[in-house]
Amino acid sequence: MGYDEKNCLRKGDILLRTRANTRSRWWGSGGLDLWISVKRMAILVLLGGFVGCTPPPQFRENALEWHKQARTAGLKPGESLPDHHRHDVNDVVSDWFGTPDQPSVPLVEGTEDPLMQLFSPEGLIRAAGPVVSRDEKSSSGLYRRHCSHCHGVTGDGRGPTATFLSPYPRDFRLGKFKFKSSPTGTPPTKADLKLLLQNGVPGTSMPSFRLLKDEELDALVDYVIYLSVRGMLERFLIAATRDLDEDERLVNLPKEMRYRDLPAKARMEIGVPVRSIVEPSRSVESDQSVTRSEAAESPDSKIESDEAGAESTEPLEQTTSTYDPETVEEDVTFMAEEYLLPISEKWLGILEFEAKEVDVPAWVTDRTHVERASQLEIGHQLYFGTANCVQCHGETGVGDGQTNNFDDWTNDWLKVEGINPADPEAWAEYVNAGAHPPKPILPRNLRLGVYRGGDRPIDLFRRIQYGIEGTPMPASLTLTDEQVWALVVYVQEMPFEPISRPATAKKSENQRPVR
Amino acid sequence: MIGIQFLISSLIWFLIGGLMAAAMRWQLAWPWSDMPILGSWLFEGEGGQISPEYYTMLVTMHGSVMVFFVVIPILAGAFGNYLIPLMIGADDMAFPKLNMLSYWFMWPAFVCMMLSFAAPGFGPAAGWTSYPPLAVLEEAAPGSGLAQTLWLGGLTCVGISSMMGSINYITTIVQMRAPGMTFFRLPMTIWAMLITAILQAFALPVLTAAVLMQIADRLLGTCFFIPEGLMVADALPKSGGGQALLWQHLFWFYSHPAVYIMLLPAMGMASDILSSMSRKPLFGYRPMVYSMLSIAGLGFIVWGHHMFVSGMQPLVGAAFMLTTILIALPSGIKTFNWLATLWGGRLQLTTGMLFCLGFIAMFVIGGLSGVLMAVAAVTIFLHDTYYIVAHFHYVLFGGTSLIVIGSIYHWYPKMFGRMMSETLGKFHFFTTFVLINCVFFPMHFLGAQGLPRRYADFTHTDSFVHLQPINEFITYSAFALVGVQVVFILNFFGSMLFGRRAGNNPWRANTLEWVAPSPPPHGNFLAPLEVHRGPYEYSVPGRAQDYWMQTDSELSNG
Amino acid sequence: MMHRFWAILFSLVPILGIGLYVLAAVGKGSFGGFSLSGLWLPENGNPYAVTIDHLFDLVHIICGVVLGITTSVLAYVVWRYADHPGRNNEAAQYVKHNTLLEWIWTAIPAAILIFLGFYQLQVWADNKMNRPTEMVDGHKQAIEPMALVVGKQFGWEVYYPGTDGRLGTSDDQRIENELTVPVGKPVVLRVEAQDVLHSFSIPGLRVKQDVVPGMTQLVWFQVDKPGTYEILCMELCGWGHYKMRARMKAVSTTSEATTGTEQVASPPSLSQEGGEN
Repeated sequence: MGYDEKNCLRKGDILLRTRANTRSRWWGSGGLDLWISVKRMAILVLLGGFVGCTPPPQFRENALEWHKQARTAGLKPGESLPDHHRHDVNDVVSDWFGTPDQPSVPLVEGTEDPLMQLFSPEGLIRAAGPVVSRDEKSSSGLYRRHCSHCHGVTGDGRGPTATFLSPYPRDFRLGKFKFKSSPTGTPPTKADLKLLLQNGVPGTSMPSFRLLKDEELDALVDYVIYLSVRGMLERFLIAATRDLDEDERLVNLPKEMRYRDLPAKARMEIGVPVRSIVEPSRSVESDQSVTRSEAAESPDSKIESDEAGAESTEPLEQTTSTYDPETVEEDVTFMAEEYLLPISEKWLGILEFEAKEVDVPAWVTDRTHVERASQLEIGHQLYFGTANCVQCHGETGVGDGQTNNFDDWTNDWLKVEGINPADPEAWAEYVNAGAHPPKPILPRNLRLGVYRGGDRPIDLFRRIQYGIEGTPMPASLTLTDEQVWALVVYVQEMPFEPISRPATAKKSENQRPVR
Repeated sequence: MIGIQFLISSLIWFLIGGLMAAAMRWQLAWPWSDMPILGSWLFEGEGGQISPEYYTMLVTMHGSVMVFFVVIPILAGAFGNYLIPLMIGADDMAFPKLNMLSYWFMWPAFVCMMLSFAAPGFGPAAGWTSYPPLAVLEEAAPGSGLAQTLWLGGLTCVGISSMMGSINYITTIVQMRAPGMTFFRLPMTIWAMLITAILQAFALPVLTAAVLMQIADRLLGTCFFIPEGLMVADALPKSGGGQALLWQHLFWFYSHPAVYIMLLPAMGMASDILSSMSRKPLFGYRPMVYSMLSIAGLGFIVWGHHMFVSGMQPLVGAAFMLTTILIALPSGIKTFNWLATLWGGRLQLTTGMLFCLGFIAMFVIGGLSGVLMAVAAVTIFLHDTYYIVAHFHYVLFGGTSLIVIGSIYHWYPKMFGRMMSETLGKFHFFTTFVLINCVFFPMHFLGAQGLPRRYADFTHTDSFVHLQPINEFITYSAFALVGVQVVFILNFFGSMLFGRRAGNNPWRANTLEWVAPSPPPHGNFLAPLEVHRGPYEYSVPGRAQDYWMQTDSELSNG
Repeated sequence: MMHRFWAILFSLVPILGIGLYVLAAVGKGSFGGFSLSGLWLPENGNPYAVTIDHLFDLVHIICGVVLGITTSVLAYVVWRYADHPGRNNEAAQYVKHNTLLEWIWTAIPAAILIFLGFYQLQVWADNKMNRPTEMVDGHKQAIEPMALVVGKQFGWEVYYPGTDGRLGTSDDQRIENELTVPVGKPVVLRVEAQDVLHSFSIPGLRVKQDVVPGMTQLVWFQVDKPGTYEILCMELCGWGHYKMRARMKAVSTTSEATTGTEQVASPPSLSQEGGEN
């Protein structure tokens, strides 16, 4: 599988070294060296001799997008876009963004690139990589410890646990996020993402990570943005290949030559400079260095694809002379400017975003306020009238209005051919390409008192004002703030109306009155 | 014979369960690292990092396999089947066909369990106790879909198998004893098997009913165990009206007696081996029988101690605490009697005997930590921590499994007509005994720190990260423990071919099975038997031989 | 001389077994490179549960004595009575029973066990049955829960009564995975489950109560020292069981005990978190 043993052992060494660090804190000193060497031997035997080990994970290519674009381009089932397009996209994306173990960042505008403002190197180091240790100095792999089994190593929402969850975990690659303080169409602020990590998403399988340290949360937020930017770029590039002519490529190299086959130096000069984010301690440990060239040449940096193993062995020197550096430079710069810059600008724009100040009226927070009753009535009328909440959330608010909608993550491919979601055969090939079986998105049952975007008045306000991106919940462009607040009050009270409350729970056995 | 079939299939499952434990230990020592074999098989895209629901599945299946496929069948199915007719002097079980059915009903269960590994979620993941609503609602856990249904189906088949077995054992023991074999001349093994069979016959229907209720909850939409107003993922609301605690009551009404089903036969076999190998009559035969009876009786009214903090009425908990604490008494009496049996004997330190001695030591530890847990107030702290894990592994692994292995060494000559290698056997005992303690003793300390069971990873907690070196130590020991069982496997199969031939009575023991040829032919005995005395007449003064077989006439003097 | 070897092996059970326990209990020493400190009960901050720790120690002492006696006898028996090539011809004793002995080793453990059983009833009742009381208008009255803690897959939702001081109204304030309680006064919490079984447990306070969907339960404790405690789930609740942790902050109230509850009960002011949103 194109994976060499050397890496395997190196990984073992890393494990060993960091454990030795932990150990020195907790273990006494007697007989220590012997014990370590026994451990070291045992690990090596287990890792190396026992069965070998699994290659480090790679970012999965967006097979669903490829499939979708192939169908959009009018190809028949079974046909796909030409392989060299896939190679080009994979090579470029992995050249720019590295691998799960060794992330990197493309510097579109030189070394002081704005992209680096989005994610700090320290953050990426903490979040990326294999789970190693909680030890302060070498802590890494936060994402794979806490997130990847649902959201996937690639951030595609397709980790091993994902299929069992309802709703499905978020696929970051669309760059859409539901719960944020920014208007529809813009990315969330970092504070939004962090708040979401702290609070979780009630009513879903997304738990709260409040107990993580502040810098750990920041690191995860950075990494989510990194995955999202990477995923968006990949999708844009895939879409771009669809419109290319027969003999045209994203990177115009001679046939049978791949972008990643170019010497790293050449890519450095004619391509987009890339900043490698390699964990410093790891580079001390082995002969790796933070320069891009070596990182790029290590087998880790190759994206997973079916023929990766076979082609990577081709000698590079023979082919280097046959390409035209200027064309390549032009193509790569074009890609960076045409596809990457808009993404990064969109995200960078949000760094400066300041949410509009909203005053929370007193009658929202104070249940006993005199005005509350009248506002409740206004909210009630809006619900059934102007705001038309009733259409989806239903007359009783249990979310039984319109239940046959899908969210954007599903519609993204469901709408391409107008697939009937009720027909498993129609979407089977999309599911094979990595889509989750479509599940209708249900309007929230407002009588449970569980609000995914948070239940503070301001959260409810934002959800009504800006809607929920990626879902049928629209932004309320025509309502005034006052009206939105009235709706908030109405929604707040709904779970506490008598019809919402089931018979009061049985008294516990240890709740007997005290003698 | 059916007994041997049970033995071999249980040992295979023992291996599978052990390997699962090894996988769990890997995850606990090096959380989320690349797991050998399993990681590259199933989680290659994740770099060999298993998923948390896979860990819960391992926990669940390790427990289920060990309890339902290993300990219960190997004691009742294998040794019960094998020893009962031989020890009471019968030519076969009372219902041979029922007997065969009881074995072949295990196979649907085996198939169900195997299939559940292939079901979504790689297997049930609600714990071997399958507490609802987690186990009942498909949306609640990845393994609670088809896999859980298969698990329940498998459990039903195990139940049917055990039920048929226990009816057969009771009938055989009551009806088919050789002439002169009165109840108080029965070896302890047979007493234990009889009491176990009665326990099973009374407790199993409750479990079967509970399992069928859970199946109905899952497939027919009943809500026996589902209260109203649940919000599980996006699941549609259920009508509810059930009570989640009901399952716990029903389950433990079976599963607590099952603890004794998993222990009493081992105690019986230990008594027989100890007495014959110390060449001394069993001390206090009748107190031993009575204590076993009282364990069985009390065993039915202590199930609540699994539920001290479950939300059950605390007053009931207090009552259960009193009965529970009393059940420690008969076990203690048995231990003292064993020690008195050894005292003043002439101990033959065969491998089987060593395993029995090891069993006593481990059982004392496991039993005493049980006293701690019987104290309800302390259980508030210890419930569902590694202290519990240490406790039941000391009883079930350090206790029962050591006896099972010891009994295999002891009765192997009878089963296969050849002796097992004593050298390999003693090496196996030494390593197993030491490693069991290396694995399970440190768990007491983990438990004293409040380390919770069934956590896939506690290195991300502040309170427990300092326990990680201990976890690694346990993991290395556990790997070694699984590893040294290779010695046993080699010995077991190697001795079939190369073992020294055993005579009818290689241990010079008294009980009836040693009258029969090794291995016993169809019909077991060559001639009709008559029993003249109890099973433990060793070193009777005035006799040249230090044993006096139950069939020997009064006059014979060796 | 193999039997000596086995006797020594068995004698290691009481020696190491009790030895390690003693070392762990006094929290000193190291064994094979492992430090034995921090292996006994974690520090207890809950006066209601002090007796739990005492019981834990007491039962360990009793069990340790029994363990020492029985396993030492076992080791001695192997040492003394094992058959070996050099052993004299002495036959095993033909002793079948001794009623007096049986009575002794039935009665003494029975007495100890029954003592333990009754001795701990009060602790059990204090922690599970007798809710703490407070004096209201000269009447003894059970303390009402100060917050509702709801277990769900996979976290703890904490609801505080809002300005109206009652739980279950629309101004309840919810915060995920963080509970704040006052120091030095009894705290009563209502615990519930939303989906499956969970167990509300704070090892540092010896508190544990399974929460069952469809049932409400109360737990109570008192924290004597300000600090942070971990709330864990201790009943298997699905794949994320191990993720289900929350933080409990015990904060000291202001010198006037009167306003203490209000100040503490409301979660750390909501506006601080993430500002506007």
